Amino acid sequence: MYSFTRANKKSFFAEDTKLWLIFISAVSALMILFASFLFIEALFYKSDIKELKTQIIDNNKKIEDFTKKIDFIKQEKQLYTKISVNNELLKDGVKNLLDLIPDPITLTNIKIEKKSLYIYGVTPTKEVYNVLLLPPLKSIFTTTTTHFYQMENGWYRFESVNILKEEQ
Amino acid sequence: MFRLIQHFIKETLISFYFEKDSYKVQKRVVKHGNILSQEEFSFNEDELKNFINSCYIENTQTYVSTIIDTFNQGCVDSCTHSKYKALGINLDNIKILCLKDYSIFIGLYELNNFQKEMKKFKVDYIFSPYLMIDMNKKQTPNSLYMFYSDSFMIIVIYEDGYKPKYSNIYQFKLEEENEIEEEDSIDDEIGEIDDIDDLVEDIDEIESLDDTLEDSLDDSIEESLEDMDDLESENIQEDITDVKNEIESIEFIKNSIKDYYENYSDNFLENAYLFYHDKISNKFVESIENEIILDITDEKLDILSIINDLALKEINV
Repeated sequence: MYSFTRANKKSFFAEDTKLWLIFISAVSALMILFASFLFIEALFYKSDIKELKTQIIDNNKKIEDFTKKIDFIKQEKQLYTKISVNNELLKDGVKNLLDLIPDPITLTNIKIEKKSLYIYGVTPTKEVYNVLLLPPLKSIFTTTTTHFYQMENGWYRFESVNILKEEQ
Repeated sequence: MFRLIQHFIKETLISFYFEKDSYKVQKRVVKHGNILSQEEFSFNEDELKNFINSCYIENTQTYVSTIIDTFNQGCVDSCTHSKYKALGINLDNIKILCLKDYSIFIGLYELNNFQKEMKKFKVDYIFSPYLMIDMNKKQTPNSLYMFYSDSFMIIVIYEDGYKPKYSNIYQFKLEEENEIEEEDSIDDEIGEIDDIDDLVEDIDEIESLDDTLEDSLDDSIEESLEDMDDLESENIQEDITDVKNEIESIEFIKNSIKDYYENYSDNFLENAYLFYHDKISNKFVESIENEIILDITDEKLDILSIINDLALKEINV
């Protein structure tokens, strides 16, 4: 140290330069802020995209599930329709069958299976049965077998087994 | 960080001192200690202010330096306060500048006044003129150094070629001063007059020297007057001042050496150096040689460069 005094404080920059530097710094700061904002936004978008992708995958799965369910429901519907049709047909068949029963003959029991029909009843005579009921049964079923049992009053209890065989 | 930046920037160093009727100025541009350019000017006060302002506008790293030539300053061969107290120097009124193991001091009052005065020039560094000698001292023992300028004269004596043993400063009286004042040697009178007896003794000795002094003064004046005949009328006043200063200088040197021998050392002076920065007459050198009975080696100092060198050292501290 050689001087009796210390140097006055020196600025590295002139006043004009300082103003420019402040301006440039401010602009740079704003740009950095804006870039940061964009960067953060991009990050958010990226996370949103991830979420959306996951959602899409989930939705695709759901769609698959729903498609399966729809298919199942369609099958159920078809089945239901088929059953309904069958029921209708059966109903019609029963109705037709009942229509076939002539007045002198009285039915005591009817058992309907898929390919067979069992009829139990009472007829005044075998001829009544053979003339009035047997021909329509024969026209419908492939095989028709009837057993008669004479009752005390002279009437006949009958048991008719009708089987429908599928055509080959 | 600051050092790193400083490595890449230019510094403008301005040194100046007042001489006669103008300011001598040196502008030096340095970068990392290397001088890029150096110019010297002579300005009046307003020109100097404008010049410094323009330098600041050009480069904010501008350092302005000058020297202070007030009489209340000196050297002490120690930095310790006890040494100052032993010399009877009041520590409250001075500022000490320690240079390794010796020091330079200055009166605070004078320093503060000078600082106020220099504020208009935005001065950063104020150096003591003693540094002009200290920066140029030789390794020779028992050497007397004199630094002669237009406004003051300094004497420093080095016994060991390293630490100043004795110092004294003398400000030349201005022409306007009608009354002749006694020489002030408060600053560096390392051995002040201790009591009345010493004072009386000193006065007797001074009186005994009067005859010799008068003779030498007369001779010098006569010689100077002879020279004056050849001068142009416009330079007469200036030359009269020079002669007056030279006469006062010789008296000051004589008194200082006497003081040194009486109060500081018994070793005889073996070498004498006279530094100056403007011009010096051979007759003046011869007159001193006759008085001190020693051959003088005179050397011109580039004060402005030395000030800027010191400023550069200060910046790099």
